Amino acid sequence: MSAAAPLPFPTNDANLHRAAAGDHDAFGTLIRQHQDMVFSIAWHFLHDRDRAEEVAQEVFLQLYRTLAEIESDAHLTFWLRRVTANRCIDESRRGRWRIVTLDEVNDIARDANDSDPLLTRKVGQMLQRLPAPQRLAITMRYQEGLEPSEIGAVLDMPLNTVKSHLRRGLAALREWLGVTS
Amino acid sequence: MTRYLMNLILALIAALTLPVTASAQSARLNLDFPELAAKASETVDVTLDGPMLRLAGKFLSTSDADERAAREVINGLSGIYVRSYEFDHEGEYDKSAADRVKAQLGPTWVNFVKVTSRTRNDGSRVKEDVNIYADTRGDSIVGLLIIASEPKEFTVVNIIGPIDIEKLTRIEGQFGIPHIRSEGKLKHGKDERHD
Amino acid sequence: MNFEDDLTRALARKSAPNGFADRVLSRLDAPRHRNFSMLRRIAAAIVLTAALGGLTAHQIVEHRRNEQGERARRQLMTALHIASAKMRVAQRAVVHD
Repeated sequence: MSAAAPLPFPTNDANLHRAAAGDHDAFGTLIRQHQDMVFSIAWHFLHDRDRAEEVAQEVFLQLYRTLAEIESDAHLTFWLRRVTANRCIDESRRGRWRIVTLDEVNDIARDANDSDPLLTRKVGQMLQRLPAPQRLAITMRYQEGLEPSEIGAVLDMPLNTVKSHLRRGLAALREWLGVTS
Repeated sequence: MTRYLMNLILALIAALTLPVTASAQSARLNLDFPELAAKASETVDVTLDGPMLRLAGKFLSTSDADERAAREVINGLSGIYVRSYEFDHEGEYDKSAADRVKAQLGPTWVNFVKVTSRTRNDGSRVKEDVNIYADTRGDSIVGLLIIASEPKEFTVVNIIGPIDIEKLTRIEGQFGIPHIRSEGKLKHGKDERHD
Repeated sequence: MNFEDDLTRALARKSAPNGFADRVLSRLDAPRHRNFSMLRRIAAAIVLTAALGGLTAHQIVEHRRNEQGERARRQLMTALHIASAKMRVAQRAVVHD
C-alpha cells in the first residue's frame, strides 16, 4: 500500500501553538499545509468543486474555533480528516449528491500530475454511485493511504465495518469499471 | 436478458390453476432472525410498510435515475422488508434460516428461479444460492421473496404487492450497506473497534 | 495493470483552489455583526418571537416529517438496491445456463 502524499511542509507543533494563540499568519501556514488534503477528501466525496471548497472552508473555520483543543500536528491531521468526513456526510444529506458534475475540464487542466485524466474522471464518476461510508473508506485508503484500523479511528467505525465497506466498494468499482482479475 | 426472465415468469403464472382461498394468507413473512443479528458483524434491517413506503415515495428525487425507477417500482406496493446479515467467517450462521423462511410459503408461492453458484465478473467463483419466489393470485404476482445465501452473508427480501420485476432489476445502485450512523435500525452483533 | 494502483493514482490529492487560504483567513476577519446595542437586540428579539410564535410548532413538525421522510427514502433505496442486485445474480445465471 503506497504511503499518503508527503506534506510539503515539515510538521510544526510550535506553529500550531502560535495559531492557537491568535497568530493569523501561523494559522494561514496551517491552512496551506493541510488544504490539499481537506479539499481533496471533500472533492472526491462530493465531486463538485464549489461545494468541496465550501466544505473545506467550513472545516478550517471550525478548526480556528477549536485550535486550543488540538494537541499536536498528528492530532491536527486526524482531526481534519474526521471533521472533513463528517461535514461531507452532512453536506450530502442536505442535497442529493449522487449527481456527477461534468465540469472536469478545468480540473484536468489544473492537476498537472494527473497522468490519466480519463481514468480519474471515470473513477470519480463511479465513486459517486457508492454509498457515503464506502466512498469515504475508499478515499481514506487510496487518497490518504490509511490502514483499515486508521480509517476506523477517523470515521469512528469498527474495524470489521471498515473492511466490509472497502470490500464492497472495491467490488462495485471493479464491476462498474469492467475490471477483470 | 430481462425479456427471457419476464417470459419465464409469465409462463409460470399462466400455467397455474391454483385456487385463491377465502383464508389466503398475506404475502408478508416473518423475517425475525435474532440469532443471526447477534452473530453478524453487519446487519441491514429495513421495514417499510404502506404508510412509510408512501412517505418515502414523496421524498424520491426526480433527477436521479435510480430514484425515478424506484418511484415506479413501489407504486401499489404495501410493504418492503429486507434483512441482510454479514459475518466475519464462513459457517458462522445457521443455514436452516433459509428453510425457516421457505416453510412459511403457502401453495400460492412459486419458486421460479433457483441459482446454486455463480462466477463474479472478475472471474472468481463464489458459492451463492439465490432462490426467488413469487406469490401468485390468478394472473397477478402479489408478493416476492428473494433468499440469497453466501458463505458469509445471508439476505432475505420480501416485497408485498404487485411488483414489476423488470423495473426492479433495472435499479442499478450499488451492493453496499447504507450509512450506519444515521439509520438506528442497524445493529452490530459484535462491537469490536480494533483487532 | 493493478487496479489498486489505478485507484491510488485516480484518487491522488487535488490542489486546493488558488487563494483558498486567503479566503479562509478573510472570513476570520469579517465583521460578525455584534454591534447591536442591548436595546436594539431586545427589540429585535421581541419582534422575532411575535412573528415566529405561531409558526414554531408547525416548523418543528415539518422538520421532523422531513427527517422521517428522508430516512424512509434512504431505507427504501437500500432495500431496492439489495433486491435488484440479487435479481441480477439470478438473471446472469439464467442467461448463462
